[in-house]
Amino acid sequence: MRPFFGGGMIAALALAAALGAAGALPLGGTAARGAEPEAAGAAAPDAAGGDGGLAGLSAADVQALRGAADVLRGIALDEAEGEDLRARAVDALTRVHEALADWGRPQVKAWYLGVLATTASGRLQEALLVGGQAAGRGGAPHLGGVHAFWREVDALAAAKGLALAQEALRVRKDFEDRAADLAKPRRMAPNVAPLHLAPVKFNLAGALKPYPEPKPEEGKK
Amino acid sequence: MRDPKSLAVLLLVSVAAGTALAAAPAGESAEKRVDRAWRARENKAERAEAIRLCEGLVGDAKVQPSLRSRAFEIWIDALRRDEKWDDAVAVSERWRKAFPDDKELQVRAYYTESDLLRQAKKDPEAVERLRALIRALPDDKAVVVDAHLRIAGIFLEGRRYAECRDEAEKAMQADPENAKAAAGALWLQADAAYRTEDWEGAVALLKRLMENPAWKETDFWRRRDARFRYGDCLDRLKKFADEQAHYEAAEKAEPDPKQAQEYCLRAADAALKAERPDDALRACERVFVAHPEASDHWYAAQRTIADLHLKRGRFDEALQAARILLDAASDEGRVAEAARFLAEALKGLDRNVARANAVLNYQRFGPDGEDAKPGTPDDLKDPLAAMPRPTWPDRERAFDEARKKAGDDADAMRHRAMTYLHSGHPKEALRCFVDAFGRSTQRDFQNLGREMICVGARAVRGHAVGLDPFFAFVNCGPAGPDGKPGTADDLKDPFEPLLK
Repeated sequence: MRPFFGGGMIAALALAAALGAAGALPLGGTAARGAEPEAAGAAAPDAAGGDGGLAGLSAADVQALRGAADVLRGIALDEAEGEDLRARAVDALTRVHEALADWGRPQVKAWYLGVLATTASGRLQEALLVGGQAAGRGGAPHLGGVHAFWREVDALAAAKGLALAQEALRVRKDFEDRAADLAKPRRMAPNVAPLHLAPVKFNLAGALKPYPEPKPEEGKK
Repeated sequence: MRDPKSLAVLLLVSVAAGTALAAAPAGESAEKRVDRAWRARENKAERAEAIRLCEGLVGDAKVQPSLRSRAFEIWIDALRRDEKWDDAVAVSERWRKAFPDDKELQVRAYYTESDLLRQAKKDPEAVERLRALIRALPDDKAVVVDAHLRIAGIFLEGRRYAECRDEAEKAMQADPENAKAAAGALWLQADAAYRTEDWEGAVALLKRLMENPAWKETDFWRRRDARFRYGDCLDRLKKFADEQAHYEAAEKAEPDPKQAQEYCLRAADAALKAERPDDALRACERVFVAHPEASDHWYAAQRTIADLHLKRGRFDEALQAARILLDAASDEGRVAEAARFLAEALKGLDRNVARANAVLNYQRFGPDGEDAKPGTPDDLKDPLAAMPRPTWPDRERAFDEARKKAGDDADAMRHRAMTYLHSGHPKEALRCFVDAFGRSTQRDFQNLGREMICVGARAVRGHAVGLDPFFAFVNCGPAGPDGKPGTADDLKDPFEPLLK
């Protein structure tokens, strides 16, 4: 499922602008409205790093996206808000990280895990796990980090007595199914038959009769 | 066996129970009964109750008209769900007659009856019901036009094509100023003409449709169908130059890049039939340079370009085009196809079959040869390694612009990768595939991962043999299957040397 505003960065900026303009939201990371969950685990990722990578974002775009991320983290942490809005804020935050290409920063994964530790909402857990998996992968071209992420989720659940909701279990099952499918190597080398140029057979027996041997001149001995 | 007396008692009890079920609980408002009927109609087991509630509501003069009308509709819907078409028609007639002054309701009821009769496979009666509507409201142009068009639609589906065309004509005559109605009528007439293989007639009608003022507001799919059908008719009439011009005009008018690319490919096909191969090549190239925002039809266009050059005996150009085709191939079949194009082009250059076969063998066995062991006498060299990939400046320029505007998500990075692949830069393409996979989330990591290996890594390597380590690495990461770094099952990153 795509985040609720599929328009990407521009939409994120629009949302941030709209929410910021309303004046009701903090723009400084986790200084959120309402109670804060697990302050250490859910600390806001630092402002450095994640400049959009090969997407070639301008400095202004990067700045605005980071601002949007602050706003979205604020909404996601605000327990006074409805769980659907908080989950949509997490979806949108995930989209912002996708744009910034900053999954590799360890604080990002820590934030997703930190918020996960504080919520029993299935919808919110789902959004956090989708983003958390991407953060676990850290932008690397392999899924090793995602497997490690799920081990961390298991450890967290055991340590905090956190019950994963059906939605969260679905995310895990979906990942496992897709990873199992991706792990199957595809045959790509084609079994192409070599070209064959049929040899041309020349039958010159009729066309190229040898000249007759000259007859010996009469009277010559 | 029960005696008659006990049977009578049983009957009375049943009737009483039925009445009790239908009867409203004391004090239940009409709104609540309507609401209850609305919910009950969905469930087969409760549908009889829904109908009983509706019967009670429509027969109760104290219930306000809007709720009675609503009860009629729920009743009809309940009967429709039980496929009791005739009963539903009868209730709709009652509904219509109960509110003779409500014109909007009259129209809705006539349409409902016509639809129900069609579902009952009674097309003549359905048509007659629509004609009755026209007779009932002869001065309402919108209703008359719509009813005629509905009748024409019924005739079309019933394969009564001449009657369909006549009826659509009546719709146009009923309101000559109504461009939208005319567009609907022309489409039906063109459809009828097409189905009777009256290609000239269909062309004339579709031309009128595309010139109609309402054409621009016509929905995307109808416009697409009309354009393809127009082109198809010209094709059947063997007017290939006209067909080419039609698709070129359609491409220019089309804002959607994927659709415009389809028109380019059709224009190329028509140009080929019109024996204008240079036009065909230009049309294929427009798929890239005029519409670089979407890559959906790039492989098809590149394939046509390679094929065209090959057929014209331009083996150098064919070789270049096929080289890009091989880079962009996404599965075994396409790799085989591109390899054959390459081999045919090489063979065409100097009739050197051995070199052509070297290309095929390399694609088939890779550098380790048939025994799959490095350092043995059957090891192979890539015959294409010494041949530089082509550079096409127009394509480079268009792709450069497209990359700037592509966006910042995983799909955008994939698109950037496709632009690099189709312009002879496989290493940059792989870099973008890796970036796309890195950005991706649950939704798209699987497809992007597969493309990163099968297209990106394969294109840089130059062959598809031995991709298993890539799949193992992507699935497990450097720590290997046990997830613990520094153990015997650790894996090397196979992408790293390709990106250097």
